[in-house]
Amino acid sequence: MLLFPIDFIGASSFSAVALKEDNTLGILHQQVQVQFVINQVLRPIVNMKTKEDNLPAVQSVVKDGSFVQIKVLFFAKARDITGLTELSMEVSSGSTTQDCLNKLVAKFPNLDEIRQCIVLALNEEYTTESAVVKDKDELAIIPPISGG
Amino acid sequence: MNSEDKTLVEIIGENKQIDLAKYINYVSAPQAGAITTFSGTTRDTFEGKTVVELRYEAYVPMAIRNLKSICSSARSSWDLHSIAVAHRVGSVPVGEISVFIAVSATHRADALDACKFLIAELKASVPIWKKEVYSNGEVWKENTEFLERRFKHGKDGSRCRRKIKTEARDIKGCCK
Repeated sequence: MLLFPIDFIGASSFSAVALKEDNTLGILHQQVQVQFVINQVLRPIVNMKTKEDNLPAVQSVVKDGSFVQIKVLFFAKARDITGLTELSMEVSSGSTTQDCLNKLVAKFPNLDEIRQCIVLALNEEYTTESAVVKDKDELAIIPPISGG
Repeated sequence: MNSEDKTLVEIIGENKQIDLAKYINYVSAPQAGAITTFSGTTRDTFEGKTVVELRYEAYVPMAIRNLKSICSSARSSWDLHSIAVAHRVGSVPVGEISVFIAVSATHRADALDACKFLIAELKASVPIWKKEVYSNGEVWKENTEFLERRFKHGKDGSRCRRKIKTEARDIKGCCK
């Protein structure tokens, strides 16, 4: 039975909410000695070990250069498919534009419909799928153009 | 490059018409004996379908950069005075002008040939798209000039699903 003290009436009696083994609650009024209360109720509470010393050390999140952040722009049919004009994407350092495109197709499978038709631009210049992306690069997904 | 070379490239915002006089005035010069202009306008039918309007969008910073580069190329091939290129984005109803090019040169051969080059290059490589809107649907257009040129933009042409038959000028788009 667990006791949750709610009132000490003088030095010789106390009231408590009791959680009994059958999970029912009851109000307990006991004429007991103070020592009982100290030994059986308060001391166990005070002696509860704090767990702070046992916490694992907080791992600081350090950017060690293994990822780069790029911005991806979608135009025309590509935007229709993804529903987005742009998104921010994290890729591993050394990734090519093709790696980025693979990641985008994995995220938006319907992009596969136009994958063979699109060209890519990196930082406002046409690029190949073997070009390596750097941090803060802007990659544009360019479906067949139709200006003029 | 000659410090007097004048090149103006503008993407015109939504619901604004192109001010032709502005660009013709821009390229006019006492030494230029010829001014050639090209206007691309929205026509009312395509393959028998009635066109309601064209809707354009652009990757603006790259389009401007690309157009300036095309103008530089034109200067290296022809003796030109000034060039102005303007392209609208947004809706362009039937009969209105979506793209305007003005070129001036001392002699007309340079002006005429450069103007033809500029519109061809624009349609082949500038990141601008148009959607053709019919009464019963809409479709993103694909310029044949771009499809022919794709191999130069780093794509492996053999991976394109649809064959491009350049001889018969029967170029099928990829995204249709």
